Amino acid sequence: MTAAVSTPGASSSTVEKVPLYQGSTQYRHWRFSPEELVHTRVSLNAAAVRVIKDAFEADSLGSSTAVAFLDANEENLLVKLYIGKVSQLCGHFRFPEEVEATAVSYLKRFYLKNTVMDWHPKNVMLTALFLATKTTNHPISLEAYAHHIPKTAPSDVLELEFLVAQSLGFDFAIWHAHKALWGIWLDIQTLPDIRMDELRDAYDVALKHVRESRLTDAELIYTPSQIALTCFSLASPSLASAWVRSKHTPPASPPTPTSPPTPTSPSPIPETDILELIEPIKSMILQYGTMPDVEAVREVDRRLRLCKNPEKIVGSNAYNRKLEAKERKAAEKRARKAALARKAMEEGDPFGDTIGPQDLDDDDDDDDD
Amino acid sequence: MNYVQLEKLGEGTYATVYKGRSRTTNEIVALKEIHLDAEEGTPSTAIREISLMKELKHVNIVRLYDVIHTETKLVLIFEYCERDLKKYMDAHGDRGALDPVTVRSFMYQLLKGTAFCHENRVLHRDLKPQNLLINRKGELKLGDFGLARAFGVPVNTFSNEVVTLWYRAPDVLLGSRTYSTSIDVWSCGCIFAEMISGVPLFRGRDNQDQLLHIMRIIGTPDDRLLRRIATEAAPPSADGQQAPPAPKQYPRYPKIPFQQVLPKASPQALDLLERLLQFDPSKRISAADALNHPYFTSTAMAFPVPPPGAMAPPNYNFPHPHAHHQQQLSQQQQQQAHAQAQAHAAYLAQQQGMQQGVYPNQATQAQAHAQAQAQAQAQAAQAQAQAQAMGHFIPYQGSVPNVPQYAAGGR
Repeated sequence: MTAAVSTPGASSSTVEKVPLYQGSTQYRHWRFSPEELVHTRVSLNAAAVRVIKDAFEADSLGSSTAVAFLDANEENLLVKLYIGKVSQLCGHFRFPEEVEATAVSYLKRFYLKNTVMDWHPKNVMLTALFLATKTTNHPISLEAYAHHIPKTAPSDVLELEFLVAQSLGFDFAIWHAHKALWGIWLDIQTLPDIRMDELRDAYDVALKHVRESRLTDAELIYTPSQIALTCFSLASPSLASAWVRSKHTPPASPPTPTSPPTPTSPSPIPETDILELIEPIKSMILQYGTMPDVEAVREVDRRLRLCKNPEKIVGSNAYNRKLEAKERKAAEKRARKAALARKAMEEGDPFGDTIGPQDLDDDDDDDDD
Repeated sequence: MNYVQLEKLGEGTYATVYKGRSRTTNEIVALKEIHLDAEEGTPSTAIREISLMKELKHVNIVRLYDVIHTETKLVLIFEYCERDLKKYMDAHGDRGALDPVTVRSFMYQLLKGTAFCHENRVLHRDLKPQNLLINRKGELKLGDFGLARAFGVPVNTFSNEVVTLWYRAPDVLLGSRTYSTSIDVWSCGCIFAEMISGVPLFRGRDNQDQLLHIMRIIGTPDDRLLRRIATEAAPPSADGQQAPPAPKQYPRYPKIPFQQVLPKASPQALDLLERLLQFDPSKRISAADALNHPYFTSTAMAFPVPPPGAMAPPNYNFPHPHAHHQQQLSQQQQQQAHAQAQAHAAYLAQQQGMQQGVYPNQATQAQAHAQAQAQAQAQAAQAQAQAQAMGHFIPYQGSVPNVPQYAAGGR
């Protein structure tokens, strides 16, 4: 009987009880285990190589045998280089941290759905950054944006906008580690016996580590607050553990919604567990949080020129053939639609336009094949 | 994921909205077709709306189901709602004025949706009856997040953004750029008054006129407050925008009691309105706190008795000084108020159904709700007994001068 009453209220209130972060698209769509991440990249790379090989073969038989395609690690290395470039560009434009971090996340996510052999990160990076200015509400006119980047026309940036947006699944909102770090910084100030100069130094160092973490896969595996705590711990282990302790002595302060180290568990986790949990993040940042060796990347980029998907190279046989096929398909679709419309008119069906898989298929051919 | 486009529902600044039907499920949806800008690509308003709506899932916020794009257009697939609040008031109100039970239900849902946005650090910034959608179940949903902003990032004002003035907070009209969640709360207050009376509360022609309309009713605030708001207005920016003039002199209007403006409203409704429509943004109640106001949680609706069976009986209201119990109580209150809103939604649906004769199964639903109501009543009685056993009550906490505080347990 009681259950009957509580159902409407209770069910919806449990829905709302989910921590904000767990309701986010980041949590739901863009978190991986390290193994999943490797698997995703390796299988994406393998599928891309298969398709591009076919394209080569279609162009001229036997032409793919001599090509050394990029492997998943090499792809990732190239993307990493362009993550560094995002940072440079943002410095140039004086974009806020929010824009830079968002663009970096977009770039990483894009290459979990696409291969550099189809879309060079040089171009994708520019579009990802432009998109990030829009989504974080720091808009800049396209004209001004393209003007300040050498050899770049507005159309180069716009061309990929749909592709990038779609690859991101339109999940534009990103939860950043630097914001979580800011929360920790505010929190620690409220602890007793804190020396502000010491804290300030620690925060500066921690922020540096957060920026390094953007060069790693950390954000695809761990929560923003886990990364932030790791960076604080790298900067000052004692302050970091003081903060963790303050979170887990129950009556002292209620957990803040901004930075729960482990949003999944409502019961406190002992301090040691949390500090152990961040160990792998520490080594990830220390080991991979540096710019890649330029020579190594140059080598990858040189090979990329040879193994680029010919269907994406304007003027190549494969490109032309693809274009023809696409136009043929579009014409067929127009004819089909016209026939449908005619039929509908005859039957007196007032419903007109259709938005559906056919439209999307045509579009996707361009992106995926 | 295949939709048939039906009739046009409306045209916005950056989009056209059509009714649509899913080919696979036959579900009716709203298709918002974004006009693409050849110069700048996808408009940032659209991008922002998508970005925010993907994160906001709540019964009182219109759901974004999907985003579809083709080479020439971008279409957002939204949950479909029969009509907006404006049209609802025209169709169902008495010269626009809604009955107290409906007002309370809609107001609860409006504040619930707004509180959820604020909890998610999103400002709607354009709440008005045209942006509140009502479905056939009587559920109210916040829509049109085209102007919404995530806050935590500085809010830039754009001259080209046209927002209805009537629901705009006075601090924004005075040029404040430090505004926050309180601006949505002001809009909620304006909408509240409009649902009660049937006409917009403040109908200014322009910025200045809008301010005067506001002051004529809630009174001209003292110079200190005006000065404070003026200093919060942004300093002149590099691109030659004018600095806000030194605090302007305004005619000194006395405050008119809301009771005179809205004679039909209950004392509790008037008190809530008072707290929503504070000139000083820092004094405005938060959406979350407003949900715990006695208007929603008190034992009786002072004004016309709700139609029998329409609503679960209201609950005991005052927060208790003992934190633990207070929390328990307020949770119960919230749940009950929610149950009430739901019951009322069903009631509305039933009414509409009877008028239009299209909902055959409403009778059984009404029955179920009557049962739920009895349950809620029992629970309410229990909660009240519990509260009284604790011996002492405190009045609703607030700091509105010149408004009589509730006598403890008085009504």
